[in-house]
Amino acid sequence: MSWTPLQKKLFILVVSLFSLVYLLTLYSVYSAAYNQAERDYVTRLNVGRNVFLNEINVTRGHFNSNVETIAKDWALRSAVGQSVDTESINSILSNHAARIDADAALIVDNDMQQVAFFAVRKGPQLLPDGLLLSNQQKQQTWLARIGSDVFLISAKPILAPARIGWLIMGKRLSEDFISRIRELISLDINLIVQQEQGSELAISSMPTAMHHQTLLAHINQGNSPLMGEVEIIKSRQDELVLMPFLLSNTAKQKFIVVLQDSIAGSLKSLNIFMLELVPYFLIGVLMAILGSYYIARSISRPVGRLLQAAKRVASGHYTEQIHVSERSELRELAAEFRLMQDAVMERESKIKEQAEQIKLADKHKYEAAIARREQQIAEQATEAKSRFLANVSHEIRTPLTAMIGYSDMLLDTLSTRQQAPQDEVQAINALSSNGRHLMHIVNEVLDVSKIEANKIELEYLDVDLLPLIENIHISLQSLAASKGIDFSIQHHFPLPARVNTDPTRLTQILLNLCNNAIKFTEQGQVELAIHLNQFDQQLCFEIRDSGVGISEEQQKHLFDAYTQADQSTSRKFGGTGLGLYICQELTRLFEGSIDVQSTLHQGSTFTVSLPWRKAQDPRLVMNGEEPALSTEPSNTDIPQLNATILCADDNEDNRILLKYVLEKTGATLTMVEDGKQAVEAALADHFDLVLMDMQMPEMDGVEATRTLKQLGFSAPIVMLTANVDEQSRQNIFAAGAACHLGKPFDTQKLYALLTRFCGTEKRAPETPNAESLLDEELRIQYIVNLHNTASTFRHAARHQQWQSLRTEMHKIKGTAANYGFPDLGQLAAAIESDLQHHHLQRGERKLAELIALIEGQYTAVRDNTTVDSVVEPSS
Amino acid sequence: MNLSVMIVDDESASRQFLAAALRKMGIELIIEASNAIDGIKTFAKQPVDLMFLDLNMPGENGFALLSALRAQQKNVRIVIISAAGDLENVQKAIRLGADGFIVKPFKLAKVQESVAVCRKAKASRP
Repeated sequence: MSWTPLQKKLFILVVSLFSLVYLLTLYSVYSAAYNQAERDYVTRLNVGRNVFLNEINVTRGHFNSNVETIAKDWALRSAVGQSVDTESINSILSNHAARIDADAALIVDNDMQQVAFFAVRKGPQLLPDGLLLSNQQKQQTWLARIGSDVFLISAKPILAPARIGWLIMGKRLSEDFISRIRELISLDINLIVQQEQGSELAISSMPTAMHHQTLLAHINQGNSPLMGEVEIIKSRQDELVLMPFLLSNTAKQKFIVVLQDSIAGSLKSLNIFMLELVPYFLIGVLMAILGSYYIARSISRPVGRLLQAAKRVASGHYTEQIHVSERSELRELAAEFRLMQDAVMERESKIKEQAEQIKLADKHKYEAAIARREQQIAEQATEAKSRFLANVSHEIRTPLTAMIGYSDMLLDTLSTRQQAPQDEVQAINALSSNGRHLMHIVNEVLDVSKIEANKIELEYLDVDLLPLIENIHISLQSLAASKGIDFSIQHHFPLPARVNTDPTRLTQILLNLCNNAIKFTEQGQVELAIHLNQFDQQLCFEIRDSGVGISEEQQKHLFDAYTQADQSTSRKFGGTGLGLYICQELTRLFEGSIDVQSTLHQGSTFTVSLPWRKAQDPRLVMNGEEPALSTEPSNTDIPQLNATILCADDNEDNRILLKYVLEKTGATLTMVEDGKQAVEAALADHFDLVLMDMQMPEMDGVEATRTLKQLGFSAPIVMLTANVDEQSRQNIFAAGAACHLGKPFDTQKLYALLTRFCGTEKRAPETPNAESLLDEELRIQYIVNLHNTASTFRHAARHQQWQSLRTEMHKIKGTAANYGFPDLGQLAAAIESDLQHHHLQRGERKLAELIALIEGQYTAVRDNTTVDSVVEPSS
Repeated sequence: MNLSVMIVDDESASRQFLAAALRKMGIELIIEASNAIDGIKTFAKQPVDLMFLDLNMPGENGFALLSALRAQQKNVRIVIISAAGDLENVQKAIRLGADGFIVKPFKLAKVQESVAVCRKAKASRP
């Protein structure tokens, strides 16, 4: 297992605490025992000495009494006079000695002559100094060293009744004896003999020679030991406690007993105890280890889990469960931690949620932005494309219009002549028809581009149905006739007299289909049938032909853009292949349907069904004899107008064409070249109608229209434009234009508009003109005033007061025409202009002219009226 | 319907002509002023429905009067009558709140038109 640092520390702490306690305990126990042991030495040594001495005395007493008994026996034997030979005596003596366990026995007479002798071993000299015994009658005891042994010797006089000799018996103090005492006192015993030659260790209970040396060295050191006192000496290995005391002292020999104890020895039991404690210590240590491990674990594991949980929480794992089953603070800590974890988790999830939301919102925003951007780009691209196409078509159509217009004009002129050169007429016809064909193609391409850009909007109007159909008939009659085909219209009555539809687009569809039918029919007939399906509220147009027909395979792609039934058809019959596609898309705009049925080589039938949108006048006509009253002018109708019309167009060709077309109506025209001029002209004069080109320099048609309408300009303004997309339409109507006319304009449409806005009736005659309105008095007064101030003009000119002169001229310019003197006004305006541009001489000349004119008028007025009625100005 | 009209023009001949024309159109209350200050003072005393205003006048010009009246948000149609009928003046007049602009010398039809518009506006006003 791996230890965490905390676990290690805890473990070490607990183990060392335990060991410390243990060692301290041990030390105190040991030192207490040691002190106790030290105190015990004295007692033990004293007791040991006493016991030793007692033992010695007991042994001596006992020996003495034994010796006395034997001595008495000897005395008795002597008393009876039993003489015995030496042999017998020795035998008896050895018997006695054996009985009392003596090692040697000797009988001497008063002269100290040996009588008998016995020894366990040979030659112990038991006899003391002769003097010692000679005068004594009492039993004597002493110690003697004989050879290497120490003998306890007892001497008893043999009294019978007088002393006849001495019984001397010796008992060797053996190691056994010493050992026995040692057993009693548990102290080592050394018997040291001090002689003149030196000290010698006679007997010792200690086995090792080393101690002897130490001991002897100590005794022989000269500082003779204090008898009966405890001494402590140190040896290399041990500390020794000694108690020397004198046992016997003779002249020659001194017997010293040294009781010896070693501190180590006395502590032996303690040491043993200590030794016995070792396993317990080991067990204790082991338990301490286990305990500390357990404690460390019990602390560090939950802490570790908390730590781990904290780590995992910190790394984002909020669902981490913390298992801390321990009681007390850790559990509380864990519980608190869980609470904190929950709180953090909650907050985190909230943050995450918010972040997600923000991210999502950002993503949405981003996507929306991208989508918007893409849409914008797509729109811009489409816009650019359609603008480009519109511009290109405008650029193509403007010259085309001029070409067609001029060729028509020429044809017009030629037709009035009696003898028109036929080839010229043909050439011009070719010009015209080719131009129209080109125009048709351009229109188709433009239509397709508009369809693709969703820019086509239907313009629903109430129109007469039958004339519309008739127009188609008329338009294609000549084409059909030229091919030898019968082109007829089949009306299935009842039909609505008027319908609400976009006539331009409906005509376009029908013309296209009929034109196709004629084109692809070599012989036979083409029929346009029209009927009203009242049940389905559908207006149905059927175009039947007996032409080449269309195979089923070809029918599938018939209405696709840019395809024709047969690729070879474009070579044979021409055309762009857009016609049917445009028809289909227009029909779709009408919310109708287009269908084809065809058999190869037998002919085709195209059916166009459009929802019937009722006109305000929903009458049905039952036959063709009474066509609805047409308000539309017929082809050849040129309305005769008594109107003033302002035309604004920057293109000179267009101006000429407009002028040509408009002059036929008899209207009074004012032609201007840009929006600025248009505004200035419109404000300066009265107009019944304004034809305004949309694209002009200086100020475009829309801006000019807006300016005029803001100033309450009431005459209708018709916008001429090539671009009739929705945005332009909105702009046009927002500016206040009455309607718009597509360019190149259709002459018939233009005439229809003129009729609508100017009417064929004469202009309101009640408009007063200046002459009829003004009192003659006012006129007279005006010219008289002018006449009176004329002298000041001369004066000003003479003194070169050009500024004041200019002001005066300005006034005349503004007022003279109102009073019926337009020539005066014009002249004044000219003078003002000359003065402004510093053409002073010319100005002066004209001033003279003006004054002359004023004089003339004044004279005329004066002659026609009575001077009395003229009020002279008071100031 | 009776309209009241004020003519502000320094040129008396102009004023007289216009007044005569307006009288012919059936307008009875015609007030004349010969300068802008006079015009605004008179207007304060006697508000009118329609004002024909000359631009080029001594002292304060017509634009000053126009903007002053528009600042007071007076409910009056103001038609500029000026010989200076160039586009800049026209546009300035529109910016300052003119309701019409007639270029001198003018046709009476233009004046008639203005009167008609004013009549219509007054009629439609509750």
